[in-house]
Amino acid sequence: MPGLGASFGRGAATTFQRDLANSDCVLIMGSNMAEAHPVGFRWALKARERGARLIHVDPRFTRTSAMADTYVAIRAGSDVAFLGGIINYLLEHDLWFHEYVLHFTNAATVVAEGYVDAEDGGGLFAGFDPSTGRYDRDAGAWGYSIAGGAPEQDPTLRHPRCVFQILRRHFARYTPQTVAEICGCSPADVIRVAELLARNSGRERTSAIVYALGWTQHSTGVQMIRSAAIIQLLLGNIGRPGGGIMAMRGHCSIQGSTDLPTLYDLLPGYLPQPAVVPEQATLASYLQNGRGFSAALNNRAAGFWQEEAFAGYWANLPRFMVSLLKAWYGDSAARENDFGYGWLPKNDGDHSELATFFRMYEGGVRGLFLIGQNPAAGAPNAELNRAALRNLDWLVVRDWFEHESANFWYADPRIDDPKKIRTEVFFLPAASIPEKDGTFTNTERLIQWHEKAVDPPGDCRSDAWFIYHLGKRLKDLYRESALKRDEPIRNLTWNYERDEPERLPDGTLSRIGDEPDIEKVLKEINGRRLSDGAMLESFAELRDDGSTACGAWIYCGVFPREDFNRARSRNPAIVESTYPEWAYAWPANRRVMYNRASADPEGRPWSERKKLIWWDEQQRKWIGNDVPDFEVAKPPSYRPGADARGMDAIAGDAPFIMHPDGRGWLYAPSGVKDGPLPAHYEPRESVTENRLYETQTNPTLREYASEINQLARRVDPDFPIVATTYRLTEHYLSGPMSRFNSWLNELQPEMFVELSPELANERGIEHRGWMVVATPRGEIEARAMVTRRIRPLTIEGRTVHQIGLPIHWGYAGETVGAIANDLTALITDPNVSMHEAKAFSCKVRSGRLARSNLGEPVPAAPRANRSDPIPGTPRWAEPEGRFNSRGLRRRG
Amino acid sequence: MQPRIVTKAPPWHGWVTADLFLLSTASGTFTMAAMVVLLRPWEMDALARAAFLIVFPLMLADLACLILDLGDPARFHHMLRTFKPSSPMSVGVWTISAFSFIAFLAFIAEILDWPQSAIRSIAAAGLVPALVAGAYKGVLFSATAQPGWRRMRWLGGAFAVSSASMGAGLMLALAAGAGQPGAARLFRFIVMWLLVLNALAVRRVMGSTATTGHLSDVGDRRAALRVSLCYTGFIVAGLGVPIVLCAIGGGNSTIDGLTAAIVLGGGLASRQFLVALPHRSAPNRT
Amino acid sequence: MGILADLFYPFRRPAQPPARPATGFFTDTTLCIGCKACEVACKQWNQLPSDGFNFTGDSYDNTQALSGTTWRHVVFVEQFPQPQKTESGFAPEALDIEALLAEPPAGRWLMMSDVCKHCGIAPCEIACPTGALIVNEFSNIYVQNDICNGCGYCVAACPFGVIARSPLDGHAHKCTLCYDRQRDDMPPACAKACPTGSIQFGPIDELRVRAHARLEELDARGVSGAYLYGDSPSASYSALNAFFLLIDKPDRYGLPNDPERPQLHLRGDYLRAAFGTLAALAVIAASLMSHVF
Ligand code: SF4
Ligand code: SF4
Repeated sequence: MPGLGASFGRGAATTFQRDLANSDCVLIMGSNMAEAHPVGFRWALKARERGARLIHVDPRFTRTSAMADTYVAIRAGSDVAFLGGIINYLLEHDLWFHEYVLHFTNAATVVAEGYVDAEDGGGLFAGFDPSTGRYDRDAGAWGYSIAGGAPEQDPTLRHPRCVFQILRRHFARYTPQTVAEICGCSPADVIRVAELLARNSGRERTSAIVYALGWTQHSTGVQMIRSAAIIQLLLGNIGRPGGGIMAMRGHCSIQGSTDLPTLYDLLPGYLPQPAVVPEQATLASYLQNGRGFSAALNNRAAGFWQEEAFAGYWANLPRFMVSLLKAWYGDSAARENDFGYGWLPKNDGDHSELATFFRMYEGGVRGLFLIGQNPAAGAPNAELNRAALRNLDWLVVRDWFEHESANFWYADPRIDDPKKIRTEVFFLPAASIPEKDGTFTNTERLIQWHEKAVDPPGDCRSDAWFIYHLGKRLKDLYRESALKRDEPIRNLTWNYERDEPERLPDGTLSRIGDEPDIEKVLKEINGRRLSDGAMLESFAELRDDGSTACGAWIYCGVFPREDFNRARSRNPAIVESTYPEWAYAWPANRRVMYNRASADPEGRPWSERKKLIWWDEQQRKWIGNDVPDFEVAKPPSYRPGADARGMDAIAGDAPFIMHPDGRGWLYAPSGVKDGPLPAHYEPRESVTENRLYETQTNPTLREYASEINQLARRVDPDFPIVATTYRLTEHYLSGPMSRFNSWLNELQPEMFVELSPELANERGIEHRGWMVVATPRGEIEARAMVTRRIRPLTIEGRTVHQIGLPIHWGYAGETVGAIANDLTALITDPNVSMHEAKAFSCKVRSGRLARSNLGEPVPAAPRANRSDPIPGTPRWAEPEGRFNSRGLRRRG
Repeated sequence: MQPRIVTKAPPWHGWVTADLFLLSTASGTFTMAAMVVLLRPWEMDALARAAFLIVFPLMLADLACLILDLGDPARFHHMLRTFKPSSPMSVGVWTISAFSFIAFLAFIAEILDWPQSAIRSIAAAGLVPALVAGAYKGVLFSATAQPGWRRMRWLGGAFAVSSASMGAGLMLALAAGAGQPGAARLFRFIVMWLLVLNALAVRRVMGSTATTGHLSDVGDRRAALRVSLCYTGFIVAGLGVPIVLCAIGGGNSTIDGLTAAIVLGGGLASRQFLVALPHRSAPNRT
Repeated sequence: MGILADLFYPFRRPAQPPARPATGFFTDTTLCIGCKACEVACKQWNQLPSDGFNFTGDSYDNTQALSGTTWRHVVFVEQFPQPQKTESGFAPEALDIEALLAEPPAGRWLMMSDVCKHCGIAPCEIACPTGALIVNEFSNIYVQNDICNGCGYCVAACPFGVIARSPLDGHAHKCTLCYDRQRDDMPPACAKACPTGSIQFGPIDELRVRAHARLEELDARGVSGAYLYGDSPSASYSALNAFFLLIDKPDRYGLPNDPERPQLHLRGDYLRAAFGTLAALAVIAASLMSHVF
């Protein structure tokens, strides 16, 4: 999440969900929190019940809007403009938190000479190379101006190149009137939201912002998050109770799968994956260049203050990396062989999911393990994804049910002859959550252990079991090999065997004898001191000499003792505003990140009401209700010397310790690939010209142009309607887990399209009747849900219609329906290769497709077995609803 | 906007209509026969006898309907677990049980040709259960939350009169069939006056449901109109016509038969109308 | 043997458990986010089958009503005005910020999780001729599944359209208030699952106190039109042990505005029936005894 990472230092939500209850105002935007995260939403509601204002800004009036005090409808994809309008209002009306901004952000820092803002570049920042479609931040002079070995500061904020002035000029054109015309709301809406946020921020009050996939799934997603970060920094809401930016992740444990990533370009703990470049050929050179600021190194003086290798927490990279290698390669990793650095796979290009599937479609991938994912219905341009799957030699699918990506070769209604599909598909049934041990790392970085309750039925096995045994077999195959290239597998530590046979909670032996010991995995992740094998309690203990092993430095401390799994802690006791004994939050069980900012530069709480941690002069340390996200003994008055390195280079009043300058970045001199400041670009498929700049769309977005992935023209009159995709509470993702469950299916049994009565009238579409939605990628048919919750917007004097498409259906499951992702396009943003399913253009008509492609539902789970007695359960104790026509429940 | 009807129509259909019809006919017939046996034994012994022979089979059929109408017929005897005066259905179950038993005795007594005194005792003992059985259904319906039914304060009274008139109608048919003009004349008279009473009762029932004040109970204005038309139909065709027939049809056994048929048919139709009422009213919420 | 056992089964009278404090639900609709977790939790705990897959288009309500196999049901009511043309000629200087902030939202989407009301004096229980419906030791209205024979009278008696006969077994079913869970000191599944506290379970006295406090709280927050439904008895109906906090008229949520106890006129109905009987009897007797014939 570079949006948060570039702004604050870590790419994760800055706070935790329960903390929303401490807010005075919660802005939910790009998130349908009540529907997609109903359990977390209780805290937003709690805040409302305590008198906070709840604001929802969204293209559709959703169940979240229903709970909000203020709702604003905007056009999908216009979020940067709306947020820019708020920033503009805050700056123009002097509503920002002066002391906080001055000390804790880079507002006063002067940017290097030669930087050209989008304001002056027609929507392009300096450093854009049209031939590659990329920015070069060095060429564009995005960095700071260096004076006397340190970034130049102007505490008066008057310097024309100081961040504050750049910001002010950049957002000058985002006036409420302009913004309202882009978003289709009224200027008063922008002002209302800005005022509410401003009034509920400051010393005494804090506001929080919540977002989710409604922001990330845009070609400008990272910049939407950046805009929110700027607002929160201007209002002084980061690092304080009830403040922050809450990123609601899209799936269970998706945070965990970026922490210990399933991403191609990261190693656990956000260490960069080494690349096939000469600068990273050895461990030493990787450690110098790894975080990707290599160019800056050529100019050390200029690079110094942005260079994490020197200042800030990333100076510890060698400790993290060496400990990781020791965890992975054990005794084989030694100083002589670079701790096995050479065995790590090196990155040679874009291997993100979407790029890989595009390559697969082009025939460049032969085999695939698909574990818990359903691209045939869930990925943008689903037909492209299915075509990709059809191009594989072999495919292994591990899931609960045979979903679209497993049965595409015969159940996809567009398939005429399954025999012609050459992919050999292996479907392996997977265990569900209560059938296996493991952890979830949720959106607030909380690592929570879940216990296995029962054995999975039949041949179902946990994913860990599969990977573990796959690894064991691979190691067996290579055991005898003397080839150098096989060393990575031979040297891998792979010892998660159980010491004792597995027992279920009821004390009986598990039927499955060979499940790996997941606690052993977590212990490896936590790390040990190798001299005596003791568990590590904190990543401060990590060393770069090979004496410690740690699978993910950020998780270090989750298993501090051999018999103490903190992820398992279940003490809900609340200490002031946090609950420190409930599971374990990385890093170091901190609940609110950057919490140094909860105290003023001198270390005193900004206010009694909003205190979190503070400097205690007696004890000479930071104390309070949360684990300080700061060196505990570093006094507020500390100022680094000229040649201080690492954490020593961070001043006592600089809360953002992951940044080399210790400040929150209003202006991001590095870390974002499409500009240091957010600029509004229209979605790739838009119904209107960009009103703010000549540059229509994000100049750095990547289009996968091909026959199967056609895109609409710029402001294409053939596709005049804005479409956005969304989720319903009743289903999950593309439905592989929910569409096989009758209890969920009966709640939302059919694919539908939400549209306004005005659009329905215009096109003769009837409520509950069939309608067709088309984009250049394809057509789908679905039921029409005509509702006033969707309203037409006025953009530049004309009426623009929006429709909403739930993403939950496909051709597998008890209920089948059109796949919304057959309409979406495969285009990606430059930062995280994220697609743009939340805003694209389409056309609609009433009626059905000539050839329906909904598919055949599988029969609902039979009810016959309802009369079977439950083993070991007396009849009177059977569930009340197990009645059937044979009068099962006759005996009491 | 009319308040929407939220009640669920009870799962009662054809079996219940049949039960209402059979029970009314049986109880009315028994009442008539018993009264005859008690008050005018000398004259119409044979008729009463025929009536007692008919009542029990009617009751058997009725019990079958009652049982089949249950969701779980094998559990019909669960009705006998309790006696709850608060539940007209419970009252009815016990009444019907008692009445069926007495109807059975009467049947046996006629077949075995028991002495007159025994039959008189049976008739006397059966009179109260028969009367209650004829009337309680009305209370059963009016003591519900169903649209229409719940306002019918006089439904019990209407059922009592209707059951009696149906019994009298059957007796009239029997008398006409048996060629007993004297008896026929008597029953014609009774039928006529019972029907007059019946019309009064229906009027009261109607007054409490079909007026605009209670539109909500039957849905919209059109539905109310339909219901009113039905009532008018029952009063004119089902009650008015036979009254006239009784008044003018002296001595003609065909007319007597027609009268009886209309009385019984009207009873059946009005009962069907009644059973269907909540289903018609409740807007597809079942 | 089996038949005999079946015959005598319903007549057994096992000892009754001692009474416990009365419990109930307080459903606060202002907190309901319509997530239907309650519906699913109920079905899962009780292992109730689905009611079939029907897209109704009635907002997000596809289960439509409580039934023999749906014991919790979430009602959705969309209330949106016809949109007005947005005013042109925006003048930021003339803007009254205070008024702007106080502006109420233009529409609303009401949600309510409906359930058996566990009426203080329950018509269904009074009507039940078999005694299958009982007031259990928690003062909840409970259908004894092994007793009910499906006569359907409770269905006719319930003014809220709650209880229903299931075609699966022909018996009447409805919310048990998780009798089985309560006996093990666990809250009902729906209350446990509800993420927002819209469904609150507890001793009924406590709930009523809490509900009144909540009402005051809402009042203080300026939420207009909130009131309690079924919290206290009306002239025609008892208090409900599962009562609601609503912000619109009851019938907007599918609740009767003025529920009426069906047995309210029972005595009178019996008397009127007796009167009718006597009138008929009088006609018959008079005719029979008359010497005209
Ligand atoms: S709501 Fe209906 S089913 Fe529930 S207790 Fe009351 S009358 Fe009985
Ligand atoms: S679980 Fe709670 S919030 Fe969700 S629908 Fe039910 S009552 Fe409403």
